[in-house]
Amino acid sequence: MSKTITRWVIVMAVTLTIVLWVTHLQGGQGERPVQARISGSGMLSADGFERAEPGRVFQFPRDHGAHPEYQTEWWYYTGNLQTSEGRRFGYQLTFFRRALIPPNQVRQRESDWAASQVYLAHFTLSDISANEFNFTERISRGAAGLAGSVGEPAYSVWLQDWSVRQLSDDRYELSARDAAGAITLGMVDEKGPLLQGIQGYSQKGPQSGNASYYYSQTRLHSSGTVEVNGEAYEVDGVSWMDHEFSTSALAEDQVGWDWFSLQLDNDTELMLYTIRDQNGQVDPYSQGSLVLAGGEVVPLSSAEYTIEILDTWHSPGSGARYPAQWRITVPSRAIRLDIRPLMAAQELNVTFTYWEGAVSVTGEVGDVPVAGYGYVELTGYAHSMQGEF
Amino acid sequence: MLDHRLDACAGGFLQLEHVYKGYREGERQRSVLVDLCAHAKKGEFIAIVGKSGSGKTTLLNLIGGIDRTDAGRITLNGIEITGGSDDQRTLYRRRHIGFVFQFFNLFPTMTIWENLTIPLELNGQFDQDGVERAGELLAEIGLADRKQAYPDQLSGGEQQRVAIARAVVHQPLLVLADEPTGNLDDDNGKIILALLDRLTRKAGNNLVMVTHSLEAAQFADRVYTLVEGKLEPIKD
Amino acid sequence: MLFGIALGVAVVIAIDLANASASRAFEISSEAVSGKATHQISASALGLDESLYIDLRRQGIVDTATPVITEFLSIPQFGDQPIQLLGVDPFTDSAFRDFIGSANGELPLGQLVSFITQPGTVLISTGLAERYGVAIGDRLDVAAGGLESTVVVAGLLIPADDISARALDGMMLADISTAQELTGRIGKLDRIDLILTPNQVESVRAQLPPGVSLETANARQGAVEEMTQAFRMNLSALSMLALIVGLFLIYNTMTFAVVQRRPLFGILRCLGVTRREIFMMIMSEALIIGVIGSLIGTGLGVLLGSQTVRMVSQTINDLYFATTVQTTGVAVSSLVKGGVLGILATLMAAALPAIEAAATPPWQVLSRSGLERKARTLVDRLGIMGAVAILIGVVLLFLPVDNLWVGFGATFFVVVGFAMLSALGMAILLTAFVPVGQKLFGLLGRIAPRSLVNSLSRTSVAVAALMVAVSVTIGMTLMIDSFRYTVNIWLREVLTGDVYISVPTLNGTTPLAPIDSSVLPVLETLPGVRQVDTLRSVRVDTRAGIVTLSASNNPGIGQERMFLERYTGQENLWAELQAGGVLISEPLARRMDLVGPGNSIEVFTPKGWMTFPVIGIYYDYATSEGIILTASSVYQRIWQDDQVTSIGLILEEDIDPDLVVRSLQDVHLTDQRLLIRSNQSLRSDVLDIFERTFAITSAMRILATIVAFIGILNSLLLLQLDHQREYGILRALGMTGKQIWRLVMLETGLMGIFAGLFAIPAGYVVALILIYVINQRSFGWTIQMNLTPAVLIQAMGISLVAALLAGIYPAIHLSRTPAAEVIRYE
Repeated sequence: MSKTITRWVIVMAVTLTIVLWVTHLQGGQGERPVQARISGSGMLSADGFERAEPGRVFQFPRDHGAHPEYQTEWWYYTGNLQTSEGRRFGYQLTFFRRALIPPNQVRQRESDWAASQVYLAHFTLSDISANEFNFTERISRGAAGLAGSVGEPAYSVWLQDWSVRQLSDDRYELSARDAAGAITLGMVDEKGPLLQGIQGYSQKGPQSGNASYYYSQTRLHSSGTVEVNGEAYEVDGVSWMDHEFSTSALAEDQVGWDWFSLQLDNDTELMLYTIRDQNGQVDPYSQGSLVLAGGEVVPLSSAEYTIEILDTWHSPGSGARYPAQWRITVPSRAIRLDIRPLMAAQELNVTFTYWEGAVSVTGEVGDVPVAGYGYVELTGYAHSMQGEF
Repeated sequence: MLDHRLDACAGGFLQLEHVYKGYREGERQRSVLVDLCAHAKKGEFIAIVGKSGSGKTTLLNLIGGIDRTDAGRITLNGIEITGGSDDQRTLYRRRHIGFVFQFFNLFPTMTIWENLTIPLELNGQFDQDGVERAGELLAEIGLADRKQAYPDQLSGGEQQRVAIARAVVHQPLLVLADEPTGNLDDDNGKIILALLDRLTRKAGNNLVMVTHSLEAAQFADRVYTLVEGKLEPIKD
Repeated sequence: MLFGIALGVAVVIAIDLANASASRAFEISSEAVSGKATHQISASALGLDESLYIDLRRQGIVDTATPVITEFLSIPQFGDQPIQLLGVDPFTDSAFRDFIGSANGELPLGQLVSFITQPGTVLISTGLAERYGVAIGDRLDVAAGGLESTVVVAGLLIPADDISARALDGMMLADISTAQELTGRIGKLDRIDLILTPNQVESVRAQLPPGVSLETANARQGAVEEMTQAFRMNLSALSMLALIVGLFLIYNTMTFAVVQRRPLFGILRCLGVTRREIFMMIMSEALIIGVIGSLIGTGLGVLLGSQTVRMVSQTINDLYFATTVQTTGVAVSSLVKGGVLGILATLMAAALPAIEAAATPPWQVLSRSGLERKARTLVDRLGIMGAVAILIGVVLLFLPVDNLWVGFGATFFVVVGFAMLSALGMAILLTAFVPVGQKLFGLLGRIAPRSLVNSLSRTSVAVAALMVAVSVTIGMTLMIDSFRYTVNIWLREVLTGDVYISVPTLNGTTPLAPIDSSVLPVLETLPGVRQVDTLRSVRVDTRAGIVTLSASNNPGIGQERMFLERYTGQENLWAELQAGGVLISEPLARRMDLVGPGNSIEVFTPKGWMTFPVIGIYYDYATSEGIILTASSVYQRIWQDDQVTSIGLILEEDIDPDLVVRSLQDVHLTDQRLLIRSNQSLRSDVLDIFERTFAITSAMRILATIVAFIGILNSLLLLQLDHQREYGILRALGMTGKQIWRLVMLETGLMGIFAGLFAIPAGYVVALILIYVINQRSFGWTIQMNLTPAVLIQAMGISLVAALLAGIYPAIHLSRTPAAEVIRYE
């Protein structure tokens, strides 16, 4: 009898324990995040923005700053650096600006946070000897001092603590930091801003307005520190800056581009790009320029150069297959250059996926051997760049 | 036959005149008592025998005013038991009729004394006289020393003796007994019958007893059998 | 009996559902608002300067951080439901909250163009939009702290799942710029959400100016959670009381069923059925009854739940925080918990009778009267056990353990103790009643009590069960009445102004929105105004979480508070307040263990943590969170803020407050929406909130009463039907129908009266425990016990009416049934 009662008590106790345990478990289920999608109003539209037309007169430093009347704008800083021991680093610090609405639609607001501009920035460091590539993307409203760009009285562009500031007429300071590393460079512009295309007007497609304003600083002598994995390195090298703004640069069937900025040891720089269509054909609006030692810019039409792809690299990250070795010839200038990535894995897998990396250059101009470094940007291999920055 | 009927219905102390009683059984009406007539003189002991289900208990309940007739009338001492309201019948029953049941029907949660004196209390006779009478009765049934006992501490025969005492303690005109020995052995049965006899007929009161035992019926002045709703005399 | 279990289970489930819902609502809404943040930066009282965030960003000190503004909005189109405005920065928010970025973390810029660029644009959830028929592009009128504006729905949040839908249901999302503009907090943020690794914490903290604190996100919610926890536990414990009532009724019925079938068990035992099998038989019966009852109760509980959920969330709204989550769905766990509890309770209640049944010897060795005699000796022993149980309960109460469950355990022991004592009490009182009954009702007056005493084994259990049921009802009623009484007195003392002006709030909490600075000068020059009292209330951090700090300019403030303890003379109070002393309310004092002289409280001010000596503790029933009261001069000096949140006007003797209220309402004082109320209407508003606070307790009291009522009805009915044969014999012996009727009514009436009588002391003790232990521990309020005869009359009334009602059916049945039928069969 007492055994029966004991058994009942045990059964009840066990049941109670199980129930309490189960309900307790259930109580802890609320860890799932609250999630939602947005169905919003308004669209990104090019309406109301100005379009790039020939004949713009550039004024510096004002034109270093942002041009909100154009929808998109970017400031590209890339460079190859090395320590006195010869340890090489490549870096990229790019600021993108996207206007959500044209200036004439911007309403007067009380709050500093009211924004019509969005800034996006990419920062990469290529630690060549360690074969390490790190990238970080940041986005911010272009308001409340969080991100922006001004040309006057002195030029600067910044997104939070990533910035490039003009210190004096030809001196700049670049700094950026992310979880993996940091860079601080003082830069001296040795050749001044050089207008690309036709006096800075760069036609990208057949339609009028499928164009951008484009100028470069092709030889920024850079020195400072690079910090990787908590260690700081004194570095020295050459940086390149491109500043481009437009409203609708790519035509509809253009999916991406291959862009080369090469700095040679004979004090010349070569910039080339090819725009590709959906079929991989090279668009005739591809072009380039050769900057001579004295700062003279020689425009190159797509007919004046060839880019031969010698090797490809398959990205394990995005699955895209990128060109990985090139031979560039500019017959009119007797230039023949072989370009190799300093390391293969320099793909950025961010809002849009692209490859942008440090390269080395060897070759000849006429009979004279040349060498150098540069940066190559390959877009549209993982997905079309249409509608992106 | 007619004569006999008239005779049977004619004046007595207890009189049953053309009594009908039936029960519904689903759709059908079953007649239990049909045009039943009987009478008894003052102080007579009448026994009614019959098979189970012949309607003996029904007849007893009718006489006791516990149940109502469908037709006909029953009078006791010239007063119609079957007439009047339930309350009137109950009050008449309380005063003039005593009941003895087969299963004793004592209150299990009351002492012997409490059980015995309930009729006195109900009749407002719980006075000096009543108490004395109850005490005497208790002595007579041989349970004077068991006053504070509970029914289940007594044997069946003892319990039935208490029940009989309870039935007569208020000096009713008529005692109705329903199989009073049905639950007892022969010896005890005889004691009970003798006691019943002594306390009723010998006191000049009437006793109507329902029983299936002819042996028990031997005590009676007259014995009837209940057949097909009518009383047939066996011993007259 | 089914009903007893069903209702008990229903009450437990309904309360558990409400609690689960409240806790889930809190969880969901706080998760929606605070997201994945590990830390939060906030400032004391007046908000954070936005430049702090920008500086931290520009200096690269924080990496994963986002600014937040929250405010509760009232939106006429959305009815009374408070809407939580969440001002966010879409560009940095996705690391914290998953509802503004798309699934892969990408910002759907195209969808957000209007939202980011256009003023007054908001997002609401599809659920909210559908419910009120709002589409993209529609306009809504919103008011935040009396500031009214119009917003445009620029988009909809499409929740990914059910829980998200509920979380977002009461939410309005705005860009941080829009949020600043809607709330008038230009240049300010409410907080900065951060995700920090442990080693980042100190470096961030080092950058913070004084008056700005960095805390873990959990710490902030924890304090609120802790307080509501006590409240919710209070509720579930009360619901347990309802179950205990149900349990007693089950016990009563099962005991009855067993006692009634003793002969049967005796025969079964003769036939070779083992004790074990009889035990299992009873338990199986109980199991079936328990399962069916619990199933019914579960269904009933869900129905009741919809009401309790509303009531509980209303109370939480009034007392703790505005909940914007309206529904959280039926928590299956609550149903399971309640159902299983019901079944286990039934089994537990049946165990004793089952053991007793199993103990039946073969054949009926123990007869009915024997059982009764045994019962009577048992009654004495039970009485002693009852006294011991009460003693245990009292000891438990005085244990220095701060646990509500201990309090409820004590309640349980006391109630059970009284129940055990009630049998003895009944035996004694009934015997004593016999002569009285004789005098009052004659014969029946004697028979009835005797018959009750003679069947003590059944009647005492019934009376004990009824007593428990009624005492719980009395306890709850006394508590609620006392509470109302206390609050009434308190309000009379505290509300000394004639006219009160504040910005309307969304819940019952202290107004926090500042009144337009143009208003005060107007009021000060108003003819007929003798004195203008101002109060500035802000939310400040203490070591025990966020509480309200109120600064008063009224030198007579000391006369307008009732003090639990005061550590300085009345005449020095104002001087000490101006010297930096503070008064704190009772709940805060209890929560922070600050009762007693020489204590002080730490408050986070714009100058960092500051310590204020506590110079008094006053009763306050406005919030269970607690209030710190300080002098305006002190507050203004430390916080550099001269705004006010509520103004009280004391008028000249001959001025009619209602006239002033009306004229103030007519004059356009400011664009701000203001609430101008007379003393009378403010008092009734406050009382309304209190009524709401106790709505759930009232509801539970009513349920407990119903359970008690049904229980009395049920058990007395059974008892009387059990007596059926005895009544039949009485009928045969010549008792009239009317007498039977009166006998039955007398018997049930006596039981009802005794149940009521015994319930009074037990109920009083339950009330004492509820008031001085349970309530004080869960809310921190001292309630003055207010014992009104009405409560006791009510208790007697309930038990008597139920008892008499219970008597009606058997009385009618027995008095109508011809005696022949009652005794026909043996």
